[in-house]
Amino acid sequence: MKPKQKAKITIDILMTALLVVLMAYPVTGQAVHEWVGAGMFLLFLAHHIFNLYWLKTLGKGKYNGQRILQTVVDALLLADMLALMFSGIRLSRYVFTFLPGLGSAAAARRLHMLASYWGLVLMGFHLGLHWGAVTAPLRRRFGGKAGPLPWCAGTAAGLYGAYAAWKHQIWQYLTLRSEFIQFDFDRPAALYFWDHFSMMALFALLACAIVSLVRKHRKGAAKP
Amino acid sequence: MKKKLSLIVALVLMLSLAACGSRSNSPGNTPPAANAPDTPPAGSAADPEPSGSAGTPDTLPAAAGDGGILIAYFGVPETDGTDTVANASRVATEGGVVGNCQFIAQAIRQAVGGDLFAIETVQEYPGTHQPLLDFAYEELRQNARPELSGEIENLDDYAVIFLGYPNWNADLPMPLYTFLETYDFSGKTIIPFVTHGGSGFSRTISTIQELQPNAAVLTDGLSISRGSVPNAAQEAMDWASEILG
Repeated sequence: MKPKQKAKITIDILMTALLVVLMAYPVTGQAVHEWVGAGMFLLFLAHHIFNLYWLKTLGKGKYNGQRILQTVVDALLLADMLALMFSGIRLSRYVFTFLPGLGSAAAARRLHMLASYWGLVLMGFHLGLHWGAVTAPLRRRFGGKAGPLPWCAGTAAGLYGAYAAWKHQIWQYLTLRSEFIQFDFDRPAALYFWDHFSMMALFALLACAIVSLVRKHRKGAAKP
Repeated sequence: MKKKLSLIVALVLMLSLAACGSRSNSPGNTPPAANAPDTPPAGSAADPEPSGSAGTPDTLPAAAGDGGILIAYFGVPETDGTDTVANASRVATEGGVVGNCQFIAQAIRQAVGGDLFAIETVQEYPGTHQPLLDFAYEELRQNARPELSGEIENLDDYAVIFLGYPNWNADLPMPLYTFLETYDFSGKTIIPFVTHGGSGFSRTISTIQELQPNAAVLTDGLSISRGSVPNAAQEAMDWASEILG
C-alpha cells in the first residue's frame, strides 16, 4: 500500500476513535477533552487535504441518489465540525485561553452541545455512506466476500446503539431540550465509550441501509 | 438461512451487552444514607491533582457530635423566568421568595438546628438567566476568586458544616473556591448538598476534599434537581437527620 493511502486510512481511523473519546467528555474531564478536540481539528484539516479531490469534483459529473446523499451529509458534517471548533475555542479553559472571549459563552455552549450530538449522527452517516471506500482496501488485501461475521457484529453494535441512544436520551441534546449533559454516575464509565461508538454504528448501519435501498431503486428503474 | 442465523447471533450479542451495562439508578437525586462507600468515577484517574485524603467516610465520625452545626449556602436567585415553576432557581415561601439552596438550608436547620450562613460576594451577579450563565462561565474560565463579603466569626464553635451550592458548569461556583480557600475546616466534617440542572454533584465533592484535605468530607451528599426543590423540604430534613445519626 502506498504511504499516502496508509496515512489517509490512519487519519480516518484516528478521527473515528477520537470522536468517541470526545463524546465521553463527562468521563475524561475538560482538559483531555480540549486537547483531543484540538488534535481532532488538525486531523480534520489533514483529512481534507488528503481528500481534496472531493472539493475539486463537486461541480463535475453526474449526481445520482447516492452521491447526493453523500454530498449533503459531507457538507453538513463540514459545517458541524466548524461549529464545534469555533464554539469549542470560545468555551476553552485550557488550550485557547490566550484568545479573548468574544460573544456569549452560554450561546457557544448551546451550539457546542447541539453540534456534538448531531456530529455523532452525521459522522455515523458519513461512515455508512462511504463504507465502500472504507472496505475497498480490505477487499483488495483479502479479496472476495467477508462472510456474515462483520455484518453480524455491525448489526449487534447498531442494535445496542439504539438502546444506548434511548438510555442517554440523546433526543434531548439533538433538540436542545437539555442544555447540560446528564451523566449517570452509577453507570460504569468505560461503557460511555462503547455506548457512543455503538450509536455511531447505528447511524452508519442506517446510512448503509438507505444506500442499498437507493441502489435497488436505481437498478430497478434502469431495467429496460 | 445464513442471514437469519446472523441476525439471531446479533440479537444475542446486543442483549448480553445491554444486560452487562444497565444499572438501575437514574441521574439526579442521590439516595440518602447508603452504607456502601462511593467509588470514584473512572475519570478521576486522569486528574492532574490527586485527592488529598485516603478515604472519605459516608457517615459522621463520633467526635463531631460535640460541636455546633453551621449551615453555609451560596446561590444567585434569578429574577427572570416564571416564579417557582420547574427549573426556576428560587422558591416562594411564607417568608418570601428565597433561593433554592437557601430553601434547602432552612429545611436542614428545621430538622437539626444550627446556624445559617449565607456565602455572599462583594460583586453582584447578573440576575437574569443567560447573563448569569455567561458570567459564571467566564469566572470559571478565568479561575476567578470573587471576594467574599461577610465572615464566619466563630469558626471554632462548629464541628459540622453543611455546605450548599448550585452546580455551575459541572463545578463549584467560584465563590465556593474562595470560601474553601479562606477558611480552614481541619478536623471538622463537611456535608455537601447541591441543587442542579441534571449533573448532580459532578466532581464537586472531590474538589471540596482537595481544597480541605484535613476535613472529613461526607460523600453521601444531598442532590436535588432544581425543578424538585420546592417539594424537597421533607427529603432534606430526613436526609439531614439521618446523616447526623
